[in-house]
Amino acid sequence: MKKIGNKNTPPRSRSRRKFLRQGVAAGAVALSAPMLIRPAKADKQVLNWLTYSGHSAEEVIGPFTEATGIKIQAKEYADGEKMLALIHGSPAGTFDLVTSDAPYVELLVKSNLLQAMKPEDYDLDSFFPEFRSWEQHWFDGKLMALMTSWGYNGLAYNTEKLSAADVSSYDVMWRDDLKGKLGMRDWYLPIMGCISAGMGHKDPYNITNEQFDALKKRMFSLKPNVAGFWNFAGVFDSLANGGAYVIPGCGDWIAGLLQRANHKIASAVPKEGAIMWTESVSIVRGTPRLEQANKLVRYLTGVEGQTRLMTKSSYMANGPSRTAWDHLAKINPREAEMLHMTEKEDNIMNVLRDGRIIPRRLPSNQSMETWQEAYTQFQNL
Amino acid sequence: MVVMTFWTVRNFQLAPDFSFSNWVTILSADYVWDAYARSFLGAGLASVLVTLLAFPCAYYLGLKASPRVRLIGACLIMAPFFTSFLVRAYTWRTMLGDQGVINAILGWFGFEPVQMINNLFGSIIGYLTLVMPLVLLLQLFSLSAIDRRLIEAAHNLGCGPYWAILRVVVPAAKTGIILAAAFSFVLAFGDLISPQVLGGSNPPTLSILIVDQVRGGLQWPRAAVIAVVMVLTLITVVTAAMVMTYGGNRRQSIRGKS
Repeated sequence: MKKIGNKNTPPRSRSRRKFLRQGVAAGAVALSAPMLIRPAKADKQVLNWLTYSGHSAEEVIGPFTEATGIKIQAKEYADGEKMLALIHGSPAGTFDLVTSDAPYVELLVKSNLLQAMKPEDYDLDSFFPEFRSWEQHWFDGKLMALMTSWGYNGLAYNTEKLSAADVSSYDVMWRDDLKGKLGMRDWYLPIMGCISAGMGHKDPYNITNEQFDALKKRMFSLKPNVAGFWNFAGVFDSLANGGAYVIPGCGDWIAGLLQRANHKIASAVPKEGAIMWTESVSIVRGTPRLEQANKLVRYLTGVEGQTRLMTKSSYMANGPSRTAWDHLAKINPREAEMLHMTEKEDNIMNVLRDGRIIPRRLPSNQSMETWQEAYTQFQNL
Repeated sequence: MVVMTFWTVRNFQLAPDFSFSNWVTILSADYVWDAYARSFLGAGLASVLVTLLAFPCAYYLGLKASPRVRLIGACLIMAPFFTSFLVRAYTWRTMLGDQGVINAILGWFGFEPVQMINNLFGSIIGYLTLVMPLVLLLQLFSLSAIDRRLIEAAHNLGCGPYWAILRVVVPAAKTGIILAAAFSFVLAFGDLISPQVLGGSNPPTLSILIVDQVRGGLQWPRAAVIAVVMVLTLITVVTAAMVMTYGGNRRQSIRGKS
């Protein structure tokens, strides 16, 4: 049977060969598709930027692209460890710039991934003095990152249910009448930082093992009040719709968005201190588009970029630029007020200078896994 | 994935290794076993509930409705597939929340708000939303395929409508019903959105633990251990469902031959 079949099938076999050949050709074309896309990547007018969500939106970088003709190809992420995985897991040359939380700059520097920046290339005089020489950005006298945004994680609260006096201390979270009305973010770092600060730790992430055990115990005692553990959308919805009256690990960055939608939500820096979050832009070592990358850094730290980063729709932010602070107060006083960027006594810079907004560091005496595991145990209670 | 369970993480990078430490860490953690029991029971409960809730509808459409109504019904069942499940879950959130539609209606009648999200109830609503269309379709197919003469014969022999369903319809559509339930278990057991968005991760399930392992310290190998445990569980459950479905038939057919 087999023999007969072979004899009778030469045309079919030829056509099969043809089919295979065509298939291989089609496969080669498919595989080379990335090569065809590559010119865009190799284009000097396209910058590859690894950054937080919402930064590559038209509302933020639109004027930059318009003025310079440089397009932004962004890879966005939501938390620092994902950024480390992305940058370590991508071949060299994938990114020209990276925006990260200041504590991660140190890890990127240690991995030799960043290019030193020349301070004279940027208008640092427009910055508040403390941000010109931000300790977490300088290594061996070299500038490795520039701050683009910052904010704090303290308490966000419903102003119809709680007063500013109520949220002047983290102790409010343990109140009996808030049973089922205390919300939590699903990310251990800001929440545990706030609780640690609430216990009086001046450097909330640098604590001894005994202090860490006490922190766990203190955190676990909060569980009866906890309504749920939410991501950004869940936190937003719970504050807006009465699912939670108070949530730690939040600040003006989310309260401002809710105020825009006329919700009665505000945020507070408790007397024990809030945790600072920062976003700093760095240039990736070896980028062939150094000049273009510098243009983007100048835009992001300049008045236009700063104002747009402060008021973007994904989350609001404070900025390091004094000039942009003044500009925002002029063009949009309501939003400047939401961000506490005013000339009033309790403005956010004064709170920072008072030491009530604590720069974030990476946990030093325990591993990140240990912190995460404690948080998982807390969720599991 | 199995190989990765033996790897280690150094400086946020995966390093090939042959270490049992991930297995030991995960399998000795109480919270993992709690989450396992929670995921298993939640998915099991969802499968039972969806099977019971879908059956009357599938029975009506498959055996009682006119062809036109059946067609309209089948189209309606398929409609949810056109919307992302995440969107459907958030819609439930706004409906079931403290100030949601349902609590507002309860409020008109003077009832206190009932907590329907950030707990097991919320997760189960999510699971049902996820699996209901699929289970309805599978049940509908198997019920439509039943030879109606069997039901008529049962009636002619004096069997009441309820006994006819239990003794004739259910056994005849058994394969579809069990497979649909098994499918719903598989989908619900691994679902992340329901326990996260509607259950408020309070407390967490295995799928949430996988995410947490990766977020805190990039522990892909530990996440892989949990994933392997989940896959093994699903293989066991699906095999058991297959044995329940076809094992009995084989025995019957052997008996029939002899």
